[in-house]
Amino acid sequence: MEQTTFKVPKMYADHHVKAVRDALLGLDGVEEVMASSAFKIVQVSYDPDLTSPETIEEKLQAAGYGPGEDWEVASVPEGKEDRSPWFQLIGRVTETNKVDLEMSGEFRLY
Amino acid sequence: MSRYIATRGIRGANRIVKEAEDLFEKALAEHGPDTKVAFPNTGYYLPVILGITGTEVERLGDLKPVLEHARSLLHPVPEDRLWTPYLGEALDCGIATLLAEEVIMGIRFIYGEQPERLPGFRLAGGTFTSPDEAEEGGVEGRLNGPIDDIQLRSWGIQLVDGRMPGFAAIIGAAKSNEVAVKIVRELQMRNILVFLCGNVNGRSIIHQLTEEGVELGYDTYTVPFGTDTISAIYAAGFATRAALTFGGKKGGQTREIFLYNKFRVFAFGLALGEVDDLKYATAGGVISYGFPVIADTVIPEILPTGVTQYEHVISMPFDDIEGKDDLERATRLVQRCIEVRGVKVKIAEIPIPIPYGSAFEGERVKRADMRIEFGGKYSRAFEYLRMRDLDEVEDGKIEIVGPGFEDVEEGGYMDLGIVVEVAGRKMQEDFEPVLERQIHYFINGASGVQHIGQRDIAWIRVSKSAAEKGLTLRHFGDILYARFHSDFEAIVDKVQVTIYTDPEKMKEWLEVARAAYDVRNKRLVEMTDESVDAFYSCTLCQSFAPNHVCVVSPERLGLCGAYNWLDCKASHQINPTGPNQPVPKGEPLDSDKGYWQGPIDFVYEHSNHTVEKVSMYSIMEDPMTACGCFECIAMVIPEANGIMVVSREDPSMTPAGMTFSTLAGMAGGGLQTPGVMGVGKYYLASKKFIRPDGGFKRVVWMSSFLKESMAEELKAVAEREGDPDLIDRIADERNVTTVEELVAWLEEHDHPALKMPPIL
Repeated sequence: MEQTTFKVPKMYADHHVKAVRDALLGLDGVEEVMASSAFKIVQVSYDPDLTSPETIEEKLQAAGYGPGEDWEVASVPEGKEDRSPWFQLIGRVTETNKVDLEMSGEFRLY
Repeated sequence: MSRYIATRGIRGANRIVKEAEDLFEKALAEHGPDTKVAFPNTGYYLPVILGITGTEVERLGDLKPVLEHARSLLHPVPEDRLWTPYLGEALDCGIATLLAEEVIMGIRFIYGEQPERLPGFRLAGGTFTSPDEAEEGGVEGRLNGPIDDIQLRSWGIQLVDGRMPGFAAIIGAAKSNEVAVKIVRELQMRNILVFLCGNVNGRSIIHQLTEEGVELGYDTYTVPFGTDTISAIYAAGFATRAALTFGGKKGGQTREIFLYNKFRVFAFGLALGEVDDLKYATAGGVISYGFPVIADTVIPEILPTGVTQYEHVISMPFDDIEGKDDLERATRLVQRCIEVRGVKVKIAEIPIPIPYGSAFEGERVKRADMRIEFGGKYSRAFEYLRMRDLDEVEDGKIEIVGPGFEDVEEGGYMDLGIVVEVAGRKMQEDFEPVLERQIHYFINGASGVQHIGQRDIAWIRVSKSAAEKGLTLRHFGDILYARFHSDFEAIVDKVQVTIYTDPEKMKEWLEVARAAYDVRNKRLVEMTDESVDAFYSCTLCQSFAPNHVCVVSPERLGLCGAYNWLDCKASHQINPTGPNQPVPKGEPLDSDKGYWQGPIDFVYEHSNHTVEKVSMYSIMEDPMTACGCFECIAMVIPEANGIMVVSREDPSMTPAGMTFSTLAGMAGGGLQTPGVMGVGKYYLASKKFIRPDGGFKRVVWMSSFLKESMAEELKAVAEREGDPDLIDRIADERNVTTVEELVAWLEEHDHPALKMPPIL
């Protein structure tokens, strides 16, 4: 029995955990799957005579959970960019005002 | 606000909205924009979307603006350089998450993926009415999915009278199966409704409880939604509908709906196991409802209050909880949840060897699991409560006259008579039947004991597991003694219980009991609205429907069916400042229509001055308002010159072109709508039923459920009305579903309503 671990950023919630487990547990030689949506990690215990990390990775990719692949989500949603009208209208800034930071001390850091 | 929580919640929200958009595009391409989208048996469309945005989603295409709105609520994932507290952004993203989750669930219904399939699973009892139920031959193999309106309304009265103090949404999986069982049992014992969803590494608390043989379903207050976090949206849907159903709120009144939940719905989330981005994002959504979230793992906490009345996010790492073992730790975890949300819990200490609580009331004991039964097909059981003088009752005395069931073969039966004698300075003979009816609920609260019926048609089953844990006949006495004292302490000072199994004594007492039942029946028949000076109010539901006041008279029971005039009178004695206050009739203005100055003044004063005038009997003129817990809705069908009566158990289409759920939106929430009225089903049998509008002969259509469940009463009404065949002339959903069909049916069956003066 051997173990291999994959980072699966797409697996951010438990319905993806189910999908990943269903995909991998259907593979010959996969004995156990530990999938964590909190850490976005999949740990697979497998029989090296029956399967390999490459086959497991292919299976993950086929199921839409290729290791290292993430959702194509814009880091800043449309209209919410800094200095966009949205922020200007309601007077919010997303950059640290150093004066504020100094005044508030460590409390604001957490 | 915790940077960590905000970051992960916002990240989760961005992803789930993207996922919902992708799924929507796929469904749109495969099914088209006109495909119907609906949760089963609800008149509230997709309820969270309706509540938050006011959008009535009926077709797939309707989801597009919802997703656009969700996207507009998203915010950038905070970066390290960003120090702002993020609360507003995190809450916005939480709402976006809920909208996206409900969109996903709506689309899953299109694909037949909801309610979720779970091979081998079987729901306990319940009123689940999935479209697939018929073809699946029952509810086997599917989880519950969203709670239907019927169940929401039937729980309404328990939610408002405190029997059901709140609900808990459990997401994930417990440390072990036994911890899962313990957590749920602790919640059940406090009568807290439990919603189950989510998983950790593929394993859900639903799996854990099922493996341990815990019955899940409406009847046991434990509702399995699904094995992922997205299905937690059904809990938010339940909360939203509580505000829409009982609070009289309308779709789109987002702020009011949230405030209603914050102050009136005692709910919390309990995250078991690791917490991922979507769980944080969903928590951000439920915090807006005022519900805190407690996790049994190490996560950052949000302790200041504000959006919720209490702390928002609490971390209580399971292994760090003080306790001698995991079971004790589970108990403490539940206690902490209850403290955090401020759920008001009242538990009676019952000295019996099995768990006890209202959550066990609906449990069924199947024949295969049965140790013994009393009553039913093969034996007889009765229960009788009578009032005695104080010196005739020995408080706490429990006596068994005859053998116990220890020597009866497994699966066998025996005769049983339960005689409860009570005494108290404020006790009155009129309260005897009120208290006697409680025996049903009290006995049923024991886990593994099933009680059906009352008086001399009682039927009790004891399960093998309850008997193995040491339950004996004496414990029935213990239960009754403890509950009568705790629930009726204001009128009951002494209680003694005698249980008869001896055939001779049993026969003797059955005769005594039957004579008493007969006297009570006659007294009830003689009691009319004219024979009393005061009616009683019921404002129990004002915690949910602030503008609604029920006026209960001897001939018009409460619309929920749970309170008649005698119940209210007893309740007033028990709690003189409580929700049941005497309403002196005062000057009669038009006693035929049911106008008395007393009830009019009382209702105006106690409905926040919103209901200016109320008639006790008319459906057309100033009808009584309703909260949302009504058993039936009566509605005028002008084309048929009569009214239809639809029961909440009936999910079918009515001749009004609406189902019960849709009609309920017009009848509930304390609104006065002439032509529509929420009523208790036994009001149909009253001589005063819509008397000024023509009485029972106006009924042209009624749910077959009512015809069957009230066959005897309706037969008597038909005879009283001088038309013994009247019930057969009334259409039901089996033969009529449209107005045209109804009119044809009435003509064919020569219904008297057609010859009556116009109802409008």
